[in-house]
Amino acid sequence: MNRLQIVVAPTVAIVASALAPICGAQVALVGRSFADVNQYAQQRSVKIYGAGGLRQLEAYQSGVLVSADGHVATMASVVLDQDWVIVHLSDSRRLRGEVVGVDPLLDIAVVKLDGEDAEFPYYDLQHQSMPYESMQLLAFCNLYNVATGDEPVSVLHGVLTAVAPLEARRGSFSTRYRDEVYIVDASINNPGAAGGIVVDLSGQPIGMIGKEVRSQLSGAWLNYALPWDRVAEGVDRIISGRLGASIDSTTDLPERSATFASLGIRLVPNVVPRTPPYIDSVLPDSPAETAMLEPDDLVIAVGDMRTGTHNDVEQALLRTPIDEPVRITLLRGNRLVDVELMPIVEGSQ
Amino acid sequence: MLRLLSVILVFIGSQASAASVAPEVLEAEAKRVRVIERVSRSTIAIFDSRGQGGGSGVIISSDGYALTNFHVTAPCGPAMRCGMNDGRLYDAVLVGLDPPGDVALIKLLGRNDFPAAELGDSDVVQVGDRVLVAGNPFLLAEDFRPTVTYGILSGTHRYQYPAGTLLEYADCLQTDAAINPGNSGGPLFNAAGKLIGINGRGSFEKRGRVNVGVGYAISINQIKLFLSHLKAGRVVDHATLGATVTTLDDGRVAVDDLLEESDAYRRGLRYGDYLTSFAGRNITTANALKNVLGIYPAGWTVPIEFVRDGDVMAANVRLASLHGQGELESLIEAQANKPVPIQPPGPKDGEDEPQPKIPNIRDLAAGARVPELPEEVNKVYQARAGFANYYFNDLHQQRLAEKCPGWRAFSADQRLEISGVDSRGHEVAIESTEQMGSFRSVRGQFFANFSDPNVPNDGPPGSGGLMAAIREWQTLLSRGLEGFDEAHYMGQLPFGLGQSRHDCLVTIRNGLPTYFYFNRQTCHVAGLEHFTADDRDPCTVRFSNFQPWDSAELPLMWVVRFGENAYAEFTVDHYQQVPLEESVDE
Amino acid sequence: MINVAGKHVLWLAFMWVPSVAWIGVRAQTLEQLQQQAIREAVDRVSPAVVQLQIIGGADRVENVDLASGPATGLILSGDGYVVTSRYRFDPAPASVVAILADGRQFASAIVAHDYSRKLVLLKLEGATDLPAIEIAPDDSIRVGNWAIAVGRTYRADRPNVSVGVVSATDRIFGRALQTDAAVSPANYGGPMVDIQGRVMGVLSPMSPSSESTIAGVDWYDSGIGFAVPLAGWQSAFERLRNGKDLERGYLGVGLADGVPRETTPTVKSVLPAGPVAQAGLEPGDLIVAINENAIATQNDLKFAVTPHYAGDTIQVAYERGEERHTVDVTLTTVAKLQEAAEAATKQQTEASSND
Repeated sequence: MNRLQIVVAPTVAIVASALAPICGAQVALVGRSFADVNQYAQQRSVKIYGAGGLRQLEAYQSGVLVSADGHVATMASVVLDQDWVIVHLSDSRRLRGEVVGVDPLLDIAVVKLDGEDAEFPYYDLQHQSMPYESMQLLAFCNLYNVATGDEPVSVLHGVLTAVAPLEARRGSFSTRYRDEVYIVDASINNPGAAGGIVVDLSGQPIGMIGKEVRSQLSGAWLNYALPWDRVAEGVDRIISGRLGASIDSTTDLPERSATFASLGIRLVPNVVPRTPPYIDSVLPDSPAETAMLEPDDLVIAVGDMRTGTHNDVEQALLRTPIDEPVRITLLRGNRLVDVELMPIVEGSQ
Repeated sequence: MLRLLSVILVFIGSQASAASVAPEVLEAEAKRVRVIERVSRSTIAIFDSRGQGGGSGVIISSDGYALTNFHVTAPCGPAMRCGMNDGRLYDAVLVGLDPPGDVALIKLLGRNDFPAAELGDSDVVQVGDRVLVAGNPFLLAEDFRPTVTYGILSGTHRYQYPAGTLLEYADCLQTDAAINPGNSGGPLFNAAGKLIGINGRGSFEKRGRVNVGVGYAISINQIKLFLSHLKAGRVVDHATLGATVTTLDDGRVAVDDLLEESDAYRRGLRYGDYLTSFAGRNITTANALKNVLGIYPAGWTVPIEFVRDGDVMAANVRLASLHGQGELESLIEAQANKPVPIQPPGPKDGEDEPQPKIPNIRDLAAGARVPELPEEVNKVYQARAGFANYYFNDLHQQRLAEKCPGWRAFSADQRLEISGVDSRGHEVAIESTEQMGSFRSVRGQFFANFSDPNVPNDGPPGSGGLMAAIREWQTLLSRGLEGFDEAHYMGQLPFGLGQSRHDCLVTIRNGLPTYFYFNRQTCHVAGLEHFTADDRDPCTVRFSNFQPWDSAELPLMWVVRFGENAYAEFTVDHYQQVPLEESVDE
Repeated sequence: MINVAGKHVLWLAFMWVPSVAWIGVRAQTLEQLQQQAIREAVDRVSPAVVQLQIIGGADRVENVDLASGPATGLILSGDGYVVTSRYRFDPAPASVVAILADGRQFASAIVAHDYSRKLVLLKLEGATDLPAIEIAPDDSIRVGNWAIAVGRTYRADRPNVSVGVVSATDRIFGRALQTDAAVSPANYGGPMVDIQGRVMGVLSPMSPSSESTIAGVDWYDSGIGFAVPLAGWQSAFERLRNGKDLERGYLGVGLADGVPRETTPTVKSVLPAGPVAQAGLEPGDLIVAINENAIATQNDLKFAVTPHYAGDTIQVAYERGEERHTVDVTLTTVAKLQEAAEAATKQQTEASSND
């Protein structure tokens, strides 16, 4: 099997290098100077400020452009708790960005910039990388909000330390992601750095800087990035609406809508505009208990409607008739679970 | 194909064959080692005179001047001990302080062949440049051989807010080379080993006092602007424009507050103007102004450009002191009382060797050491309010006095008479003594009486005080610095048409300051500025075309200005001194 | 799940085949050559870097949490001796299993401890034909050399790598190399190698202010890391292999008050029946040389003595008045010093109560 790959791979490599220079927007940067790589990365890096304003402590993080239309990939966090954010670009533009959605599997979020007809430089989500231990890397992020306005974001250097599952790094973390990450030897996971990018020396994307986490056992802070192909996967899920379509507020409401009570679900209290819809408790002898729903399950979709927030779930239920089975998609651990619940109409029994 | 095969062998786990590292890689490594050997020699470990505390520094001249942080020297007082990588300790004395910029200049004593670092140019460095940090983090270097860390520049032209008004890092360099407590004051070198910054801060918030990849260095180009002021033994203040600006949504930077007594106001800057350029740099954000303003010492004059109603206007603006008189002293005292202990984190053992708890047969312990200045330091230290070490100021005053070709050209007890013609051929005549002066030109003749010290003389009208200015010049060149109530050497400031740097000596008489500017090569008094009020432009006189006169040299060309206006310009025919008795009836 | 092994094969193909194709067409950049050299250095040492599955022992010492996951060790000899950091061996764990890069697993026994350098020697039961390492000669280690830290804690089948430079030599009073490569529980016990893959030292937490096993752990990933140099450690290895624990050696001397880096090593007190007392030193003597190397300050003395182990004999030269004497002194352990100190205190107390 390995032998076969060896024979095939070089051909691919040569073809890829030959094609790269004529690919226009996504020119491969192999052999480019650092200045070129820096410029390339800076143009694609953004600073994200939560709607709370610039003065709010750590209401900032990093992001990267991933489409010419102005889609920005970043990490889901409290900075995105409002439905919109302010995004600073390297060319000094400050644009409003709408939070398109959050991928609960990877904790990745997508923000769409108000760019009208603007065409943005971006990182190719299709780029494939093959990182290996000791591979030299550069990280671009706005750690500690050192850069403001059009000031270039910070650049750190390091090597790939290991490709390892996040959970293998002893203990549990404040992120649900448990798959492989790229551990690096640079201090990249600092306040404000989440959503920044790790690139190879030619400027091509390797991964996205994850949230600050530390091992509960050793207490050590971790420095890691989510693999770029996983980032692409998450962004794709969000943009394509594969986790359900966004809720169409113009649809007619059914005569009687399903309710939390009719399903036997209680969500965690709705405290911020984008409270994630985690199940807080399941009522005894309810449809939810029958379907074996559990506290900490995250409601991803109701019917075909994507539910990124507590409010979304409320809106989705409003559009769901109470007298039909309700299909709910849940995220449990790092698995997606589909269940069907038959609401109990009050007084029908 | 052979290569491919060997790769497969490596992959399946067999013993790798002998290393064949590319010669370019080994040469690059050897070059880095050579650079580090060189820069380690000029890197020093700094302790207070009792051998406590600590930080880092770097020697910048063979006679022992070294740079470090203000926050490193603050708890030391005027004396410190410096360890070099040859294992030897030297006494050092405080020379100058820049508390707002967190810089201190010290001087190592006892040698004239100290290994000095070469100063680089921090304005040409770029993000991504490889850099070296040397210093004494956590005081690990018990043998004084520095810790060297390697990284890249993560950012340039960074702004880091001050704590209160001190320790502002404007236009600083950001690096991911490890900077830890104890590295403070130590050097940041480029890959060629040239000094590009002084490390002093880091974003340590995350892990307490341990590096997390973000360190900041004061740019060496900022320090170059301050260096002559520091060598003057002064406590140097940073500058204010007297105006604040705000970044508008359209990306322009507008003046949103302005002091009417500021030089910027006198030069025409007004509320609502758009500031576009400051000291040659484009201003696109309020931070950009903070950055460039932060690199100049108070008293510096910089060109600015601003836009009003679509018109671009330009002016040279003198920057005022950020702090009021005496304010810095109390801040320095406060800093001295909060030394930061630099201890390795984690457990600490007690006594190095367990000692028997028995009375010693012969206790050789000397009495507790009294922290007094070492003799070598005492010789080169002089305390005076407003100065870090007045001894060094005195040195520069003496230097100027010795080198100035016009020094003692005049006699204090004689009347100075100067006659000349202006550019249109009109006669100009000046008479000046300690008590009175007169100025005659095509505008008429004007008199000044200096006998009442409480009445400032700003005549002739429109000159800003030319007759008083001439009297100050005459006093300087007759009685020297003894002729004034106070005098000190300021450092170098831009002056004259080309705004080239001149040695600046400040004299004060009756509370009114005069700035004398000395050409750095010839040491001629190239001009002066005499102030008759705090919030008023000075009378500026520029001298040129120096010619021998008696045993001295005097200027034949005079240009007199007040604010934006030229007052007079004339060529001297002759200088003459007349005994006072002969002119009683004049 | 991503097939990482497959990825590596793919990468190798990328890396090497085009370079064959491009020979003579375009030179590789220095960055690319450095990358290649670093990678090869890791590959050279990697087979000798083993994962240690440690069960029991220290998970938590004082207030410092220690990782409970796997640790790293370094094979020193083909017949199964492995060295690692002591930071997980205080107290000794119940069981240690070593997993090699090739997947072989061996139960491991603790042979002996080097308490001074915070290392422990293990023996893999029944292991043969183990991969060998090359040790970097002492005089090849220069400040500024590449320093590549290798561990095997994240996964048994792949090494974990961080890269920096040698920051200093002779740290912790002559017992450690210093590096700015990221050093942490992820690679303690693993090797720090040079650009040729030769082992310069074994990564271990160290601190100048404490001999405690875990002192220095707070510096993980901070740009301050330490490795115990292996060049010159051969004789210690021989002694450990014979089951002899090694400890830091002490003179049993009290020195005159003052800042150690500025004060002469004048003897203030000698511990009764301690090493220097037995050799005849008295208060007032000035120590001037150790093993014929001149010393001027108390710091110099500490640098000269600390690298030696208890039981080592060193030559001490001292001045008493005008006379210079040279004696052999056999260093002792901190525990024996304490015993002697307590005995002397007791004797003194008895003597005074008899008055």
